[in-house]
Amino acid sequence: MFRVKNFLVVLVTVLLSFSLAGCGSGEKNSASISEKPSGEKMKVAFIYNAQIGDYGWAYSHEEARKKVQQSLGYVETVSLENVSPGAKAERTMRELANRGFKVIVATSSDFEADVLKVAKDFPNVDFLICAGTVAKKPNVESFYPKHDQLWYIMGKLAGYMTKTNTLGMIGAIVHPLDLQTQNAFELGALSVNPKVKLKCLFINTYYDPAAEKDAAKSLINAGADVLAQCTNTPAHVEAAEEEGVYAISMFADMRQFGPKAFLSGDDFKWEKYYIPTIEKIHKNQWVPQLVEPDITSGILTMAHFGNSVPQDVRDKIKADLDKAIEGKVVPDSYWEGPIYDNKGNLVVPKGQKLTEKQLLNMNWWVKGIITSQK
Amino acid sequence: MELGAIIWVITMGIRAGTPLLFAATGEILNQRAGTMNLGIEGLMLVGAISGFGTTMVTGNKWLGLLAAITVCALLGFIFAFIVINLKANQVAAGIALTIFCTGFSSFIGKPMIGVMGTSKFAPLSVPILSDIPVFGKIFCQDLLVYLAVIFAVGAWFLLYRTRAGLHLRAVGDSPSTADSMGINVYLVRYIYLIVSSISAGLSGAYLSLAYSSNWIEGMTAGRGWITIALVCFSMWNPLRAIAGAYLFGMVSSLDFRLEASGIDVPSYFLRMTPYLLSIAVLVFIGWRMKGKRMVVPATLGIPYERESR
Repeated sequence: MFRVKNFLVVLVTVLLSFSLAGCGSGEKNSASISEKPSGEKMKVAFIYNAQIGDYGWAYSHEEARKKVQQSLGYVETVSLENVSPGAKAERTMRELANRGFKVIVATSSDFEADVLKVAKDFPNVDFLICAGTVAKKPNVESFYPKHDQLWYIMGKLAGYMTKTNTLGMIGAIVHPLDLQTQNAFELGALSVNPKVKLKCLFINTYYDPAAEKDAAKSLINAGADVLAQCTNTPAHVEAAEEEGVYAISMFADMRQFGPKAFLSGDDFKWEKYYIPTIEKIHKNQWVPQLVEPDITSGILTMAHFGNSVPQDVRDKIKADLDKAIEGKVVPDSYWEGPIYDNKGNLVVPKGQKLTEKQLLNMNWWVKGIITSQK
Repeated sequence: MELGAIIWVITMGIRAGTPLLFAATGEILNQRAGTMNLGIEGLMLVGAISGFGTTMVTGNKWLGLLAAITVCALLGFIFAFIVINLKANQVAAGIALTIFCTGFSSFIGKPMIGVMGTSKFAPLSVPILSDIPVFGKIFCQDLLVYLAVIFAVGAWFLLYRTRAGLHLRAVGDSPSTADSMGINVYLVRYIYLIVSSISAGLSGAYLSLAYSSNWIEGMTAGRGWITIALVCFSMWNPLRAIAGAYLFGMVSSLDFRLEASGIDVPSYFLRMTPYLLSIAVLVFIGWRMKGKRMVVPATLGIPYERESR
């Protein structure tokens, strides 16, 4: 009995340590870069902090990457999923830089700190941060389109479609770029429906479908009949479909998760930024800036209407959208004063407009938005 | 808050409480035998990823459930060997199991992050009960919710009304007496430890197949630990566990609903409520049981050695 027990102890320990070793090497494999070294082509890497299958943020960038690969013959693109911000992202980017990658596209503001650290040590590698807030010569550029300009029009769509005059928004974290879209959404809704209110719940993370669904259902139960989200999953569309209300999706076209509920949403064409920018880098004409294309650039497009949108609403929204895209109207006229916040303060007096600096530091919500965040 | 909102909180609360109920019932049976399975949190995660992964690969959610049960039973068997035969310290081994299972589930779950589930357990309506005008909604739950209640009631019946239950309680309270009566103490403890692992796996599979159909790393959010508190709260009685699990479930579904009604409490505090409740409950039990005879199984956590009788 004594010998058998000892043998079994050793066996169990060995088995467990094998599985632990397996875990370790598996981790490395998922972030390893598999490309053939080819000295001629310019190497471009896209890093995502999520899975491409999230049908949200990472998915839209991946679609753009494929188009970049198709249209620019001199580049060789590579994409890396599940790179978590922090130490892992820093290591990954250093490894990419060491392997001769010329351009690294960091597709999330979460990567900003890591990019800045790595960029200092590799001045010959160019970094493009999506939704970042800094541009640093010689090699760091941040880009993000004026998302609020499209969401003003989405707000109008919500304002036309709501019957309870209550909209719901599921936010992730309190970030100025998200607040811009939330405020524009409500201002758009108010422009066609002065009684509309927007209730916001924040789930404190971009990716938690269960919490997002719970928050969506709470909002529906509290009276919201058009939902939107700043998070990265289609859970709110599913919730809207289950409860028989409407949903608008941010960051990607999520109609397959709620055929009856889906009204419209984002359809980013990131390649319209990536291709010209990579061309400029290739021709050595690139100067890093804070790039904020507006709605006339073609990056921000609207997904096709869902089945539930009636024809008259479609016509009105299409007319507004076309005017904005063709540059026939000032696309962000809603940022002109007077604007009150939801605590009653006058944030923008009559005759003035929100400045770039104010937009980048936005930490307040317009009148009509109900949220418990401070 | 109006009636509609209260009904909604109760309905969502029952759904949120079901994973707690599965795991708590299994753990009550296990702790009655005198062993402690602190690996519940990890086993839930493994159950969640096994269930979800298998369902996505095969397209069949029942196969997913079966996979969760099998994998967790296997892990439970290894844990039982370590804790019963090798007489390792049950607290340390349980925590080690949790840490291992958390990492293991994250590792095998990497390809599944971001994938939205296709086959899931949807709410069913019960013929007569669901048609009650306002309250009927409470009965529109999925199959696994009812299974959890049946499991808990069955466990209560087993413990207090059958001979097998008597043997189980004997093993937990006085294994040497049980042993001299001819009950195989080791076998009983093995069986119920595996039962608690399976129920933890089922509760995890419920999270990834019914409560929300996807996988995120760490999606249990501490529910395994809440289960341990719940086992104490229910004083090792499965019927009380039903009440406790639904109470915890309702507290967590209340937080989003309160925020949506415009209550001006920061969302961080509202998210804390289920965990604060767990602590409050344990303090309350400790205070009430001071001086009275504890219902705890007498040899909880102490390995049984025939030689040292």
